[in-house]
Amino acid sequence: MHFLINYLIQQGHSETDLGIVLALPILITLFSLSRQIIGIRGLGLSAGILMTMILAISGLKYGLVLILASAILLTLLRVILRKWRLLYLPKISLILILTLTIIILFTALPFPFNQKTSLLSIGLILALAEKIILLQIEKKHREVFFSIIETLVLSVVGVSVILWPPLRVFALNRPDVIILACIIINIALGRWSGLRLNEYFRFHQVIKNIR
Amino acid sequence: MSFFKKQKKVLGMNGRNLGYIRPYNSGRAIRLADNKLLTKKILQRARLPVSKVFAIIKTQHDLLKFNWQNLPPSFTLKPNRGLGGKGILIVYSKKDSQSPDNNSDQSIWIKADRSLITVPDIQNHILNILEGTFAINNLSDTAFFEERIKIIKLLKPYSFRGIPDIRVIVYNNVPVMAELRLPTEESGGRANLHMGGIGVGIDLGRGITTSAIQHDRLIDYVPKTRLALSGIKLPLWRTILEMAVTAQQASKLGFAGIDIAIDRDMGPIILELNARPGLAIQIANLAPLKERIERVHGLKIKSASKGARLAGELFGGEIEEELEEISGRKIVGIYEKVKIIYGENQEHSLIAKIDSGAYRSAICQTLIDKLDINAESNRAKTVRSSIGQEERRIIPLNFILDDNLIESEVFIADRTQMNFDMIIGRRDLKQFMIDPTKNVALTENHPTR
Repeated sequence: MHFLINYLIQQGHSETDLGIVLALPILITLFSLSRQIIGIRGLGLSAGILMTMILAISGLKYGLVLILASAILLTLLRVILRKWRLLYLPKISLILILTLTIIILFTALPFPFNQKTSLLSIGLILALAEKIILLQIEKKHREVFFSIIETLVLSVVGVSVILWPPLRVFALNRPDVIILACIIINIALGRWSGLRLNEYFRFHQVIKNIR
Repeated sequence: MSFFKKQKKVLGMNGRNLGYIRPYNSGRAIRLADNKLLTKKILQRARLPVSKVFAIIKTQHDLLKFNWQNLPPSFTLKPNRGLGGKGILIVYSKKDSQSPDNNSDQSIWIKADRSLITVPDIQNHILNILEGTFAINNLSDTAFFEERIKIIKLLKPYSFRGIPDIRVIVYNNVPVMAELRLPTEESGGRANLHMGGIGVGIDLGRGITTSAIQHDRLIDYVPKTRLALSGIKLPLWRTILEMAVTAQQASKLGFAGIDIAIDRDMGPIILELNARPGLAIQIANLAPLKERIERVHGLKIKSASKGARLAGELFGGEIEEELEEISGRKIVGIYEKVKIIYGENQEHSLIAKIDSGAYRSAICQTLIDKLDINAESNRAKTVRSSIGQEERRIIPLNFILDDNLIESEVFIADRTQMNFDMIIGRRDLKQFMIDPTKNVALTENHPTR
């Protein structure tokens, strides 16, 4: 194990947590890679990390249900509150409080599902919620829905990457390699000016027309 | 050319951001373009036409002491740093207040979608603008009332409620691509492609529309109609291009999308500047942007008129010229401008109908009389038409069609019941090909008599 990791573990940090934190650069790189090379826009980096965290904490199945249910709940609340003349921030706060209340009430019900849901992920959901609402102001419901699904798919990939045991072992042994590799990949991505994968489809008519 | 080489000519998101926005658009210039009021000031200083601002509301205090009586019956309310047409309120007219004392708070206006809006509604909208709800960075914003742009007749049938605009992408003082953006029912009357507006490619040389897209897919007609989107001839095209170049120079943006609307009374006016113009314009024009930018790169263009002219020469007339090159023939539409040459070098212009059903061109007796053309002729022919047999005189007549002098012999007929005083038949169309979608606007400036 890397000496720095050894030192941190001696300081009382858990090995599991360290493994996940050290796998985060890979997750971040995964998100920027999918945007720059494939062209998946999603909800952005921080929303992607939040979603991955929720999935990691609550488990894949429960995390997915939690995220999708909250997204639907948010949208419904926003549609209902739209009729009301309210200023922006109080309105968003109201939506967040109502979402939180409904999730907590639901968690109190005796479903087997509920024991598995960590309350911490509800806090993360709220952070995610504002991102979604901001997007809803700009985009149509359909587009927002697709963005959420895109980010969810990426997060599912992400969560399986950061929870993959060999990677975590490697991250604990050689965190320097992981961080250096991610830095190099991101610099390369930052200088990449070619078409994204989805742009080949988007512009296929234009490409076809070039003589 | 290989697929690999072809795709390199298309400008993608990565290429746009890295290659053109980052190096050529400074943070300062981008902030200017994102600020509509500041943009107006800079453009006015460059003597460019912009729509008039009625009032600016910066704070809640401004809103409280705002005198609603001063507001004209028709106006547009905009957030200063709005993004993608969000938060824009368009008001068409004022409904007469019922109250006898005409209390300002009871004023009612009519919105673009014909619904009614009251002062508290507008106040609430302004509060939301001030809060930064529609702003690019969601920080607090300024609201302003501005003169409403009135749509020109030519574009009215193509637009749903809102105002169409022309987006010109200018790089290095040369317009490189342009598109007409039409508001649709789906886009809610906004000329924004992301929201479902239509983008129509424009031939930079002639200002005539070519192909069109909605949601990045090619379409031929305005949705739910049979109105062809190609062949619309935009008025004042050269002026529009020159304005776009001047605006780019004034804004200090190296790579800019200039949005220009044509007002019924004021003519072309600049709506706003865009530091990050969308890339779908390439699909609307079926042409790659990167190739065009590279052709213009490094040129030293000083004046706007030179930039506009160069754009036409470099990127204009491709479609028609290509066809004309292959066939050796020029393209005419269904209605074409014709210049009759008569007497001693006298000229008369009118719009004639191209009629491939007729062999010989025909001209109305009244026009012959009006122009006092010598109609003495001993040649005549019996023609059969839908109304029976008729003997028509034939006279020699010279006219110019699309810069070609045609020495013809035409029928004199009674066309007083017809829409056009002159039709051009097959006999005189041998040098041409007919494109039914190519349109000439039928207005007072283009009489058919």
